[in-house]
Amino acid sequence: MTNDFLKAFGLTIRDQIIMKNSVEIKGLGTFKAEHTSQQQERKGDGKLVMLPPKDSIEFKADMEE
Amino acid sequence: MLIDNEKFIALLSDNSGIEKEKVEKYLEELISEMKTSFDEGEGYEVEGFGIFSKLGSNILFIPSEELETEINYKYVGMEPIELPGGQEQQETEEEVEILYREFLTEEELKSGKNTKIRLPSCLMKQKNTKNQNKKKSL
Repeated sequence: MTNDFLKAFGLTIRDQIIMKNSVEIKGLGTFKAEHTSQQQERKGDGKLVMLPPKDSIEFKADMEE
Repeated sequence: MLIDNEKFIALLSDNSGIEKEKVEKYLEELISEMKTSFDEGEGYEVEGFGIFSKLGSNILFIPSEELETEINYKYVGMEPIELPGGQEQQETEEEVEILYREFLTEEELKSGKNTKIRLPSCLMKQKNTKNQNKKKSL
């Protein structure tokens, strides 16, 4: 396994997540893009804030023991 | 769209310039190395991508800061905005729709969902003051 491979591994998944695609890797699991819309949240000190939208990456493992 | 294992290997091969057969072999090696790390009670880091770690029977993935930033490039510079109580803000929705429009997905824009937020009254006061100033100068 080479560094070029590991770098391309990360970049390939990243690009697909940016395109909102899910990536399924046999023996490892599935990476999925999740979008959270902007939303209001009341903080512990009572302040009301509007949180910006956010994209995140979700991983569901499919690894055999 | 789902990129299955076969498509992923093809993409990875294109991106790295490594033959498909080798990519498959390296993937097996990567998964095997991860399992060894988990068996030793350690996590496995793919530099610039994230850390895989085993918690009970589940495997967690924590993306690196770099990856988090890259997948959120559309929202760079957006910080939480403090809202003063959320009262009397109905009439100001149009103003904020323009501010946030470029940060919405196409689906949200089409459906009209999440296209409006409430504008803090402090910003509304600024807008009114500006309008009054314009009138004065006329």
